[in-house]
Amino acid sequence: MSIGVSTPLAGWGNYFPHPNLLYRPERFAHLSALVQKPPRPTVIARGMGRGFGDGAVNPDGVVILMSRLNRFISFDPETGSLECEAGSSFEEIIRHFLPRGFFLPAVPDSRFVTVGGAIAHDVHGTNHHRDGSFCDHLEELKLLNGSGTILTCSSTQNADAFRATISGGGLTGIILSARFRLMKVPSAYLKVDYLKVPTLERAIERFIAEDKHYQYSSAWVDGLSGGEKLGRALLVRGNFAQLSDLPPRLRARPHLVPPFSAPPVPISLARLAMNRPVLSLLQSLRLGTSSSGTRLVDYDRLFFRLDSVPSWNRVYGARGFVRYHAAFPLESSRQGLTRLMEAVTQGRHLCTRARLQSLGGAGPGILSFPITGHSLAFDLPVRAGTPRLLETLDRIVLEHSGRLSLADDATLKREAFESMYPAAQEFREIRSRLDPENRFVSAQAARLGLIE
Amino acid sequence: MNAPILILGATSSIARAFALEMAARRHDLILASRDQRELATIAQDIRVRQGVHVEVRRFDALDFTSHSKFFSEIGGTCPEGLSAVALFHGYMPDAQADGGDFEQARKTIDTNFTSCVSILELAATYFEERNTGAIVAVSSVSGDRVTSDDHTYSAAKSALSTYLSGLRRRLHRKGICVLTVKPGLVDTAMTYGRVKRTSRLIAQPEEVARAIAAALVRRRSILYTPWFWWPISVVRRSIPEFIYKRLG
Repeated sequence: MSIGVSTPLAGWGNYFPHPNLLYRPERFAHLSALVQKPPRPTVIARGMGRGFGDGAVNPDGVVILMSRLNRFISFDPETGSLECEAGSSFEEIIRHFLPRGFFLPAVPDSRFVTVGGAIAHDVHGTNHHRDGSFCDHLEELKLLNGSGTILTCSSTQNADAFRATISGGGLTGIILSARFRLMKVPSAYLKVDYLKVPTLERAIERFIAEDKHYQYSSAWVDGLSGGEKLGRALLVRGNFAQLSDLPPRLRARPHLVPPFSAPPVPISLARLAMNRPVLSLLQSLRLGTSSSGTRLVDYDRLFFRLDSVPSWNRVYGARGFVRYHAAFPLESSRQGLTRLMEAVTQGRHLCTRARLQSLGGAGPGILSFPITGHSLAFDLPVRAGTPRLLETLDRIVLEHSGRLSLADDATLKREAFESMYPAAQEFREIRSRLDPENRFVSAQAARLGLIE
Repeated sequence: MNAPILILGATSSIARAFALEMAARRHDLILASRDQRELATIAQDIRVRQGVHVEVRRFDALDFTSHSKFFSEIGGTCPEGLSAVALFHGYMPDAQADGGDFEQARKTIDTNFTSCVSILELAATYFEERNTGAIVAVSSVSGDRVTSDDHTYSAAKSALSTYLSGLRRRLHRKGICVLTVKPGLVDTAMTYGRVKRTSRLIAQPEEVARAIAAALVRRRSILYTPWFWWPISVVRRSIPEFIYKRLG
């Protein structure tokens, strides 16, 4: 059999890497053998490693890289139903199917995610208020368990396993393949309305009043300014452009977009900009000068801006960063989000890439993150005071009946997790039926007490 | 649609990438390998991605006596004729098994050399009768000079390179191209765990596949891929043996 690679591994946030033993099977037979007789007692699957936390890390066991098991199985151009192996990436799905007029029903802010990872974290995009999360479009999946049997799961067949595997962090078994619906899009461009708003409150009011007009809706929030500038934001809301919206030169091939590449700035140089004065200046430039109005933007620039910078996560330095991603229910979202922003802007912390959006209801998985309400996500480079700040933030989230996204979490405590996800016990019960030997374990699962 | 290409050892990651590359260039494909489950998956993937016609065949490189039947069946089902035969199968024994294990050594030689001679002789005759065609076979830079601790592998690849050179001379007059591919380090199951992942020298199978396809179109004879393995190999070959023996 193949040989393993021992290497320090963490999530995309690079938060406390630990040595891990990695395998990368290229055939089903190798994967199956690895799962049934792993060289160490536990395994966890890993996609492209873009999860920010430690959900695909397993220092005491084996990490199985799924990237080479990325074959497409079938596609129905009538319905847009695509079946592919779990290692297939959103990047290659877009590359093959956007030219045919199809796009993924939900995309996170990177296309470097695998289908397996998208299911294990039930990812969503800024169209959640309208289209739901990725797994709302999932029709069926195949799950490989520790004894080597393959379970076909859908909302009607093995429904419990289906609900537990969606957002289940890979703890119910290895997701082998999945069938889901792509959506037809008129072009690869979006007509985007930009609007500056002075406060978080205003942003949320606009979301509530106007989200029904937009398929994609979110806001960039200034995460550095406090006081009267607290929560000033730029709303970015849009719909896929119809042919008639496109300039004539784009109409012949509306689904083709020239690849977007950022100016090559060395990471070491970009690192110098990671301080308060420079970032404040950049934020002010962005929120102060960018004009409100309507523009035509291609999907790549709108959804996946940072994908053009390879390993942008290294910009935060060796200690890494945490992605804080919290959701609040409608009743408490204004207050909760404001308190969160106050706490972040008070200290000397660097809160970057803060993004606000609406969420349109519970997801199909037991541990799915979305609820009806609003969510805020931002990056925090790890500094001496970060753990204390995170405790404060967690308390605010709990006090306002909010919850954190498990796809991004690297630091949550078990007690806090239990109150955020009351269905955790149901998940544990279904999980232990599916995996009685506790073969599937991640560092995150151990931290949150998901494995009994 | 261009005439089909027969790909032997089609479940290797370089072969899969090459198959996808040729399918993107509108070639139909016949994929052959031992692992039928994997072969079916790869064939279906190529159909969904590129919409070309893909057939699969069972092919056991080490079952030499089956080769003649295997090849004549393909000739029978493919009336318009093959445009090329591309050979990708190979075998590298586990590092710990090396040293004194003759069964491993024989399997290495048979997979990487003997089986190639057996099947490529048939391919050569097939193309000779038609006065057209191309043969692609994957050797290795370690066939130029022993590079790893696995000298049986290097020896077998060296023999393959030499054999292909002879085949090229024989088929040249008939206008048949023989392309020897000498990849350096490629990020495949064979090298995973043996080579540092962060190494700048390591190439992705897709890059190698693109280079092979381009070389085939230009009907080149020898391809080092990525290109920088050519100077590396030249330097390596020029090191006198009395020095080289100390470098192991």
